[in-house]
Amino acid sequence: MKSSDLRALRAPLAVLLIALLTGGAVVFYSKHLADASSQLLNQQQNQLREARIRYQKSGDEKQIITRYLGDYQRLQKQGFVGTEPRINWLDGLRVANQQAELFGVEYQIGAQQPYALAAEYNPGNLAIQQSLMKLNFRLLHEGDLMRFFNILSTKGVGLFHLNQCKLERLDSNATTVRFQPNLRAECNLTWITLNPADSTRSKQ
Amino acid sequence: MADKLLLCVCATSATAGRWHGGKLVAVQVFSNDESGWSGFSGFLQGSPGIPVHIMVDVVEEDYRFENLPHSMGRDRKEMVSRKLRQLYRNNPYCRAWLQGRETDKRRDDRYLFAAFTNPDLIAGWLNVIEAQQAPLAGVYLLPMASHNLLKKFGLGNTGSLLLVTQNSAGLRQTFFRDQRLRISRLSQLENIHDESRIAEYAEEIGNTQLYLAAVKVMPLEEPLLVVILDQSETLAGLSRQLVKQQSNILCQHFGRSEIVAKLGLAPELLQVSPDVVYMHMLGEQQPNNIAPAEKTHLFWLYQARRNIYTASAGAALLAVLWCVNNLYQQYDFKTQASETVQQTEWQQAQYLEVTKKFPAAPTTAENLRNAVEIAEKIRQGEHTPELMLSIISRALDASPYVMLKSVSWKYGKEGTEAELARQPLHGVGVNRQTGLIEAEIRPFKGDYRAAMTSINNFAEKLGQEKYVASVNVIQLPLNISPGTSLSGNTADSRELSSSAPFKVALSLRQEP
Repeated sequence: MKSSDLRALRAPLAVLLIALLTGGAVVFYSKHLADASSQLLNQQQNQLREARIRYQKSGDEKQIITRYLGDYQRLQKQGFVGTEPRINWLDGLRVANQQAELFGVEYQIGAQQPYALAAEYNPGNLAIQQSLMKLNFRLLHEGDLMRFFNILSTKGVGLFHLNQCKLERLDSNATTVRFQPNLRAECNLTWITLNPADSTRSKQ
Repeated sequence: MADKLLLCVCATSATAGRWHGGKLVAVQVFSNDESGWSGFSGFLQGSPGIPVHIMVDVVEEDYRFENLPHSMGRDRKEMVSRKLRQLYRNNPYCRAWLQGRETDKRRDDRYLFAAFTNPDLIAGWLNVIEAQQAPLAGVYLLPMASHNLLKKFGLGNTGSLLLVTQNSAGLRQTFFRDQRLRISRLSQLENIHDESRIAEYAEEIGNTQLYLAAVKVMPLEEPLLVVILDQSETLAGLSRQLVKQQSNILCQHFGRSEIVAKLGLAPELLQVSPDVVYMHMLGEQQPNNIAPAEKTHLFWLYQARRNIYTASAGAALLAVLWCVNNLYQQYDFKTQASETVQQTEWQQAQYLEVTKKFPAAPTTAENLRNAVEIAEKIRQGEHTPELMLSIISRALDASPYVMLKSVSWKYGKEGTEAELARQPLHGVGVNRQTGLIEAEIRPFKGDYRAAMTSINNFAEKLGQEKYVASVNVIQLPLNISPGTSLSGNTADSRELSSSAPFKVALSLRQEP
């Protein structure tokens, strides 16, 4: 083939190239539209399936709500469900300190973060959060330790786990005063709350 | 069907026509001289870019039958090419057609070699075509186009057949045997009068019959079917004359009306030129081309352009069809999705209707259950130092000389203290309660044996508790290991040492 032949075929070859490129682009775009519609259909079908199952299980749902609603509301009042009630904590510490007749409680509360062992509880749509706390306080005797925590747990501060405690005898003077601290306690605990904020309410 | 320009050239004139929509139209006759070429140039200008097919009806033609050894592929091509060079030397307008094979043992290939031996005759026409840059599709011998005429007139099963037509160039006789072209003759009978025409033609046909016998193509006594296509309606008496002359001749005469009916020609075209019969056959189906490739190069480009445009149209059509299919799918999916949405909304409405009877809840039923169950599990997993403190307290009650300094309690994976006291426990690495007791023996007056006995008794008391998994004294007041050096002064012991400190690690069972 000579160069003059190529020149003569330049226009038809250009037309062929344009036809191929345009055709390819049109096919690609239309395929993209079809795929997008197919995906949308799949999503709608999944939603329909879920809606059917939900409707079919609505009887069970009613039973579950009836059974668990009271406990859930109590947990809300206790501060376990919902936003972390730090004011309640501070009040609780103050009141527990007074009622256990301690000598003051030093506290440090860390920033809230996802609970490390959340996966063990299969929380579903719920988010389990934790705040690590450190408490320092002095005791008259070792029995005050558990008395303090028992009082604290009744003050609507939610749920907490003790991780570590150290009791240390304080050096006491020879002259014994009646209400003098004999022990120093240092405890680490995990304050756990549960946040259903992202979940869907049952009546929407 | 694509348009074509058809040109039938004889020694004195040429007939041109345009093939359009499967029919021959716009037929014109030009003289074979400069004025004719000039007129043809104007004819070409009226149809620019259309391929031109040239058919020659001249006496300067040659037909030969030759047998060549059977071969295939490249060998056959080279052998045929060599034979063409040998027969026609430098004449480029020649070609060979394989006609079948012999039936003897060698089974040689039978070839018909044909050539147009006077290229100068069409040189003027070719010059016009080249000047107009019209694509020359091919050059053909007129007898080659006559094969399809047999089919048109239903003459397919005849053994020996002589097709006779009166063309612009003269009397054309084409002989077929078993439907294969064997030989063709053009007789230029000029200046003959109408009254002697029949006799002259009959004599020429007789001569052809003698020639066929002479070249041993057909024995003289063999019956011969002579088919006369009488475009001008002047050869009606020829059949009677031939039958009268020769007893073994059969004649079939087709007049103008029959020709027009069989071929679908416009009747007025036959009045313009008798050559339109063959031009019509050429327009319907081109026979084998005898022109060299360099003469048809523009046609090659024309075909390449057409093929590329056809491929472009095909690609565009395919893309459109594919696109339509995709868009239909999209429409179908959307329709289904829309129906699904309606069904979903209906289900949700039903569900909402049902849930109106539910107690008002702050979250989903699943969340309610999960929250309550998680809270219960967390409570169950709660651990306090209470148990460990009570165990230590009971052991201290039984050990009056042991004075407690500190107690560390931990719940979790076993830590450093517990590792020191590692025993063959079940489930090492799981969460458990561990503790470290720091205490001393008081009063201590240097009697290490008594102090160690008290420590061991204390550890033994701890170990006797049922929830204690392991107890290990990890530090003694005195290191009595033989692997370390030991020094001291018994005289100073009463004054220097007032206590004997030690450490005990303990670990509770996993589920007390």
